[in-house]
Amino acid sequence: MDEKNGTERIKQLEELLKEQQQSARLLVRRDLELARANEKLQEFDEIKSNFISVVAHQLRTPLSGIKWTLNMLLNGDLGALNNDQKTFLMKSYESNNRMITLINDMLDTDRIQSGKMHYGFRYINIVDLLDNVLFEISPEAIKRNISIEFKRKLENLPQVYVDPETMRAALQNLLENAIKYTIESGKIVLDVEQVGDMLQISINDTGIGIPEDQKKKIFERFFRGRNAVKRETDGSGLGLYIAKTIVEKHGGTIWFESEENKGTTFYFTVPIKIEDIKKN
Amino acid sequence: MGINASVGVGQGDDSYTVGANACQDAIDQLSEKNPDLLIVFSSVKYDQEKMLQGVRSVAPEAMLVGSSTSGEITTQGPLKDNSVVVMAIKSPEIKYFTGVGENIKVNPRAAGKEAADKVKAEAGPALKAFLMIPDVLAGNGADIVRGVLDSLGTHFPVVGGASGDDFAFKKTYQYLNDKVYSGAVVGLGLTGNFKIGIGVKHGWIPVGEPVTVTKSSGSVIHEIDGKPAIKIYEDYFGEEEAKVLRTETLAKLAITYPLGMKVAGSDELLIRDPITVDEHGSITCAAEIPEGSEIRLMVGSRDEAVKVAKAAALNAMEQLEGSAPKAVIIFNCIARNKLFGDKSGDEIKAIQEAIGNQVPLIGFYTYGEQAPLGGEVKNIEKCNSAFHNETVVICVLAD
Repeated sequence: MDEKNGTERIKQLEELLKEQQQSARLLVRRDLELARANEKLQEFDEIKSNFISVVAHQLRTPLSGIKWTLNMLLNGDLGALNNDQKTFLMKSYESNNRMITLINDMLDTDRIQSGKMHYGFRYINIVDLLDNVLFEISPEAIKRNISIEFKRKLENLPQVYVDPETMRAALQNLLENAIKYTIESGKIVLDVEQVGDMLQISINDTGIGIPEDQKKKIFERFFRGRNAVKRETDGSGLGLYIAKTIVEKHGGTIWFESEENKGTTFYFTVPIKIEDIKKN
Repeated sequence: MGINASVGVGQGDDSYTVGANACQDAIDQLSEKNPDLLIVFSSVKYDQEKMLQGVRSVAPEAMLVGSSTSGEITTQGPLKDNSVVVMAIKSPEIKYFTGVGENIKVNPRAAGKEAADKVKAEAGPALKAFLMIPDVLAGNGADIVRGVLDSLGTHFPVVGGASGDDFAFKKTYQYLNDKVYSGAVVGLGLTGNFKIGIGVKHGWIPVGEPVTVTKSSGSVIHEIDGKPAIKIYEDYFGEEEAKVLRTETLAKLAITYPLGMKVAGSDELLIRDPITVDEHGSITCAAEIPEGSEIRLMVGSRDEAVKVAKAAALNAMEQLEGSAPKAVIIFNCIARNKLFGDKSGDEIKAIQEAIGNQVPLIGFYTYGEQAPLGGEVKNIEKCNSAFHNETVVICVLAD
């Protein structure tokens, strides 16, 4: 009886082994199919990426040409303009600029997604970079009577380990958003402080804020807040996605606090120079 | 004043300029501008001689070792475009010695020994670690390592990576000072007052039942369970894929399904990459699988690969006994790059989580890795350096 049971048990185990081997084959074949499908998708993605890149580059060149021509006209290089002509040309100039910004955002997004964004990390003073970006964007703030100030005097801050080019793009996106979504005569307050082995940068605005139910989506590509769309402010919905990717590539984090119709504060962190961490 | 390292990148079309730019970029970031050592990894897209001349034009005095690759890695992660990457190292505490062994095709073991003998003759008994860059398209990688150990002793910490050629499996190159070699192994010996940590792991998982290699010679498996070796892949892949197996380079199809064999001294199976298959169905691997070995087909998962990469980095860090890491050299199998696809940065990020993302890092995607089994270097009696495949080897230097 025992012998019979034993033989049956062996038979069962052999069956099980056979089934297991069959499952292993299926697993490998499925895995292979998925790997092939993934390769195909990557190929398509590459084609899409190249297409966007070519189209965006092709568009940027004539847009730059238009910008140059409009600039000449507005400067009166081709003769004096009356007020109406100036107003309409100015509108064209601004629209053209917005298109250039959109194209640049698309190219940045494509570079991020295809892993072609190059980061050349260096030790720099973040306040210098911040001042530089502020200098560039301040005309828009002045035009809309928005004040930009620092919460405290920025002194003795350690150097940070960043890629100046991409970090500049992240700062610019956040600051441009703050200006864009702040109502006329509003206020933007900036702060930089050391928190552990990171520098924390904050940008507080008295803007339209982010609706509670849309807060989760704010860093997604092409996402734009309901109230932002309503106000007809221009935007690609790519700026925050770009900023988040850049900050995270630096080993930092980005987050925000916001209340609709009151304002938003964006915070992000960047790593401090190793030697400076030890000093402090 | 300890180890000072930096990493530069060059990209573009002109080989000489790209080489020069990569080296200049590295030196620009170095506090002293006269590095002792340059480690150069380059895509085969570039004319190798001209690229190296470009590198040397910037730092003619430094000692130089390097390799062609199947993808370059830097502190910023794996590079998506063909590049030249250079690590420049300056340290008053480390001395470097180099050697080359040629004609791997004729005798891989003798080539390994020749490279190590030259290093040993100059470095003497103070030799602390040995880094090697072999060409395994020319011969059995395990034999090259065996030759190195013939010279340095059975238990000696060896790390390295086999040269690549952008996944073409045709011809790879090794660099030593001003010269570009092929079919050779370049060795770099280190002596002095420094610490080294080595992490080694793969994370591939066996599937299906074990089978036995019933006929093999060197790195060629002729038969498995009495049938032509290729049958194992035909069996798992199914008829459609099996047809392709015989017409294309096996490595391109099977590299993410390697073979694993049990060896003493490692809790993981030792991996062997299949590279080519002949008309009789014999498979040539990147290194040997001895007759009688019990082997399994292996599959990979990204999650597991990321997990073990971090674990390997932590192992390497532990060996530094609290010293701050100053330079990281990674030898990472091309199969892992294929497994990750466009997410290959995740693995390097995981390594940097353990080591720090500001520590200068250089590496490349290889056709085989060399390191002690289980990353054992502290207990020298248990340090058994071997030839690995599909594995990530992390080498960390500290003061």
